[in-house]
Amino acid sequence: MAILSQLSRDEFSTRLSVDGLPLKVGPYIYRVRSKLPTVEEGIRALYNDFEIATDGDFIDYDIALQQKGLRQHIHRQLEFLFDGTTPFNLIPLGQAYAFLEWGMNWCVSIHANEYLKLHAAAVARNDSAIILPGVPGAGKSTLCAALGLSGWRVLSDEHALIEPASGHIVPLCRPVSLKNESIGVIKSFSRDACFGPVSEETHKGRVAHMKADLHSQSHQRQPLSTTALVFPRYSPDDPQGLNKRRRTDSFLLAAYHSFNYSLLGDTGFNVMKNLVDQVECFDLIYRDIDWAVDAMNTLVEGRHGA
Amino acid sequence: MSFLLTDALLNPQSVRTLDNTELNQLLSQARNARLLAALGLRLADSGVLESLPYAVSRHWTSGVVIHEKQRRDLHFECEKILEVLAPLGEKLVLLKGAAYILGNLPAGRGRLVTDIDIITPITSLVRVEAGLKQAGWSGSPMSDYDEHYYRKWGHEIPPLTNKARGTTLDVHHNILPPTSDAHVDASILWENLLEIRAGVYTLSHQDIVIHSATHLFHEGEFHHGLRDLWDLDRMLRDFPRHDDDFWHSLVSRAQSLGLNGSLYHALNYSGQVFNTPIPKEVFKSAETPSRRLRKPIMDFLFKRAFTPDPIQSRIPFRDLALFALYIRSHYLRMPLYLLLPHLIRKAWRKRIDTDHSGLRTGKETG
Amino acid sequence: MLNMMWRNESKGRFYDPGETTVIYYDTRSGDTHLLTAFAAHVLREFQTESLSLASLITRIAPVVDAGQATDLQEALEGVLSELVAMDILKQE
Repeated sequence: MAILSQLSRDEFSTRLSVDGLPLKVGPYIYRVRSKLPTVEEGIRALYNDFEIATDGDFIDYDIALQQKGLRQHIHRQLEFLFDGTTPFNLIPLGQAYAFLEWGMNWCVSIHANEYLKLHAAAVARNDSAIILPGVPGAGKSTLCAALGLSGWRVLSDEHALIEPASGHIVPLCRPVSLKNESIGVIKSFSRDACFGPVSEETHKGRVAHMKADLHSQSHQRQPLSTTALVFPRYSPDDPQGLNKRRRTDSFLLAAYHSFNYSLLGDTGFNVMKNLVDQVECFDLIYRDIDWAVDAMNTLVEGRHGA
Repeated sequence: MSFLLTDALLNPQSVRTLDNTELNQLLSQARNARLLAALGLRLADSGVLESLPYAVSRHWTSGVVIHEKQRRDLHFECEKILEVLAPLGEKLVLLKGAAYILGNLPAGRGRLVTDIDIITPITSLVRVEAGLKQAGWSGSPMSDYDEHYYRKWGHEIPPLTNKARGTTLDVHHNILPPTSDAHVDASILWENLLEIRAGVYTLSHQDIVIHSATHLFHEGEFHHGLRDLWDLDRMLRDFPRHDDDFWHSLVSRAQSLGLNGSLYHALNYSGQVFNTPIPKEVFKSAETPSRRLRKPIMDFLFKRAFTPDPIQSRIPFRDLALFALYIRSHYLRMPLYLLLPHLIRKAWRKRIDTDHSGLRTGKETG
Repeated sequence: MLNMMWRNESKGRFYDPGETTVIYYDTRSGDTHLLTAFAAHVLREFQTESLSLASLITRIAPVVDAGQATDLQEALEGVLSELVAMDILKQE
């Protein structure tokens, strides 16, 4: 088993730019190929502790970021390749790294249907997982990053993968994507936070990714059982609180923001029903990130409501 | 012509011997050709899928999930359309993918659709369109030019979308545009409809094949060329089993519709790419001296359109071949004075669209 | 109105953890709905057979408070028309 950090600088660059670097990410293997310095810098910073697959392993998602031809160089644009095809329009050079991470999400969002995929972050402490579903801008990633810096294990920032047979969540740990003000919030939350390249002026504004595999078990693949669904919502005005919410509308909200609940039909309904039925559901309204982390600690230590 | 994908489709057992690199190539070819679910079901039916490692097989089962969702949705949409047509005394006649899937044809196994195609007599078009619009189907905003083009020169009305459910419906009144050099008398399509369930019909087996061939070789829809050819192969293998007279009636039907040219190409390339067993005399009877003469250049163009491999497809040849075929099929269906302004408009509009559309992606594939 | 018949087209699944609302997954349309517990109760009556409004009232009356019974027909008409609009029930 080889870890990325074990490669020499030259070997790393060569593999990334020529054949592609096969990274083991949760249950999948991505092969990433790019000659761009910003991609090299980002992968180095954020994926250094990831395992590299062996030559000849089956590749789940083959992706590349490249600048091809004079036209793309002049216009400072590049293209994203999936399986050798270009599913998206050209990307401004300054957004290269954010787009790579976004493209890696897209691979799973579009192609994987062996799991129920919730649009959610997921974290764990003491082997019990908590799923944080959230609409964009609700503050799930900020909370996820802060928890990752507070001894929690980050299971995912974007996809909570629920295995239909067991109902357990399958870890898919990748860097946490932070936008605009939340970058500063996390930098002042902890000096240990390690960031990749910053992309300016994306459709989400300013985007930076935080290294999230900080826990000793970050790269373990065993599925975990879930104990709670917590719907985080950052609000500067509302009173902070961790409040129980109904299972039925938690079901509906999580299903609505799922990537493939309706695609899965009966399976989607059954998996969601079993999941929601076995967990407690909460709203977490916060403006102070330290308070929110405390509330999550309280929840997992069983002190909530005591 | 042989690719990993065509070999795997025809002989699923061949997949057992592939190594991971080849399986990766096969997966990417299947995705690119939109044949992931079709191959997934072929592999499942032949017991190969369960013999593959889970890390590999899950990609095919994930593809099948999308097909199954579409199949369920088609059943429901079909009921909703029938609720509109039945009170008007109109039959619901399905075309293309929807017909293959709901008609339980072998071409419908794992078939993906992007919209629902139906056909209605031109004399009923106005009230069918009005009825559908009343039931929540509406046209998307389009420029006056496009609207005019559809209405005047098309064989279908502008696509209707159901706002609540996000499904798209193409209502045809003919299988070829009226500008085409081959003039199709659509009224004879209604002679031999097959009822697949109460009130729901498909064209006859012969007409389904001819329509599929026409769509591919006359209309310039080559972007799913290999998939469409697979449809044809499935049908040409299956239909003769149910009807001894199939081949003979297929050829004579194509002649009376004036579409034997497309049929000739369909038989030729289905045979070349998928080894479809086609009786020699059938192939001969569809051939003409000029078609025989042009066969080498047509083979050169078409074969590149049927390449499943995205890497190979980046060889400039393929784009060139696709463009040449597009011109060819537009030439086939429109008088030249119409062709030029339309192509220019199309190219221009496409530029405007790409400049403003940003990312071409959705959250959930349909 | 009282003699009109409705039937359940969808034969769906319920998730009812005993709250004021109930999840209903319609296997026919593929839609998932959040119903009030009352609407879910009404819908369950249609799981096995078509019903007229009159027979529905007879079945529902015993489970509602006596004080509300006068408004029952109106309430049921409202629920029925909403279930029809959601493609769950169909008027015969």
